[in-house]
Amino acid sequence: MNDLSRALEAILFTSNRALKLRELQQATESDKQAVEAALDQLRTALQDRGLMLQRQGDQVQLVTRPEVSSYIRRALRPEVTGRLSPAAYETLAIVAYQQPVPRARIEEIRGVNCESVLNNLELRDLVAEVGRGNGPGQPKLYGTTMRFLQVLGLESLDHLPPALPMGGEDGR
Amino acid sequence: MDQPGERARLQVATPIFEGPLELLLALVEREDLDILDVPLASLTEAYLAEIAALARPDPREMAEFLWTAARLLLLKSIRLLPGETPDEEEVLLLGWEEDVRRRLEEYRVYKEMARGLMERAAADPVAFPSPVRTVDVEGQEAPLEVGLLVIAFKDVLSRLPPRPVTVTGRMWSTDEKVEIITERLRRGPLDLVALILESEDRLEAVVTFVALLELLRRGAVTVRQRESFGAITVEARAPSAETGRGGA
Repeated sequence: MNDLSRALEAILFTSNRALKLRELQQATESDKQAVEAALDQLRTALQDRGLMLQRQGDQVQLVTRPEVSSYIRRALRPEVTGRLSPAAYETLAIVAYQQPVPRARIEEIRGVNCESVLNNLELRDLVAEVGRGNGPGQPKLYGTTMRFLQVLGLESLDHLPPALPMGGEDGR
Repeated sequence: MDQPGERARLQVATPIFEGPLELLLALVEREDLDILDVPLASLTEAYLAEIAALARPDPREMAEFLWTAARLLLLKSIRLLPGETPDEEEVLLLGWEEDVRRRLEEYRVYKEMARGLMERAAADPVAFPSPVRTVDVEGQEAPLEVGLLVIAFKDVLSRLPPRPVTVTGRMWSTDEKVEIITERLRRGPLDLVALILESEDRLEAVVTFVALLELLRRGAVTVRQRESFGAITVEARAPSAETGRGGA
């Protein structure tokens, strides 16, 4: 690892939240390309370690690997968050695989009003507004958050299980 | 107590169906039918039995179940009287059936993907971030650099809608904004992001931000951040003395 990678690792280690690329650039006085390359190096270097680099859009964070979560539970007894309802998981799945997605689309798929489920997911910081649609009234568009990746132990959205095909009877 | 009939009824009544789509999907799966081929009319009986057993206090939700029930009955009646060329309303209804089938399939796929996520979460694969460390307030409350402010501003700006093309919004001058911000700061500190997000469009946001920079230049305000990358607060600087001297 080069000096920049080491510096980024240290910054991410001491930070108490996900950091934007721009913030990392500012802190290290480097350009975007250099930071990206250094992050790639760091990601590779972490491969057989207990930590991994989580990435969501332009945000990165150093987190523990999902494989070791049981040890952390035993060692530190972190708070357990409440379980989500099946309805919440359905909504979460739609947001995860269709993001950025407006509420109307989620409701079209589920066939029911999803306002309160979405509010709940937003409150738990699993989904968030990621932009506005172009349609009438510029509807809120939802996407998943860094916390969503953490709860499911994913390095990035690219690591989501692949979407299932539509219309495949053999899929059952 | 333990009669088989009663138990069977209980089992049917247990799942709480959130909407007609979910109920239909459950019926299709219970009959082990193929969503893409099943004539929905064949589910009418089972559907009616289910909604008769539903305890739905919310009339609006119940209405959706009943609306679907009515359509199913109509579909079934069309199917029972074959041979006649369908009229306009019936063609619409057949289109509805196709639409519902497509939606059922889509819903089924998402339900399955949701199950995938649920199973994954049940295995407790949590990737823990570093814990929130409280930062020494004294050490972190130094006034912020303008460079950091600009970064924060750009970030907020992207969250505001662009000005609509047809509607002409109110035009703001920097002086007006300076006055408004100064006035509001008399009542206490402001959150920078919230202040900018009050803007109706990006133009207003820019004017607000420029007004803020102007106030910073005059030394009338300070901008603080309690915790690195935390909320940015704008406060009046020595309220009475500074504003009295003003008039730059």
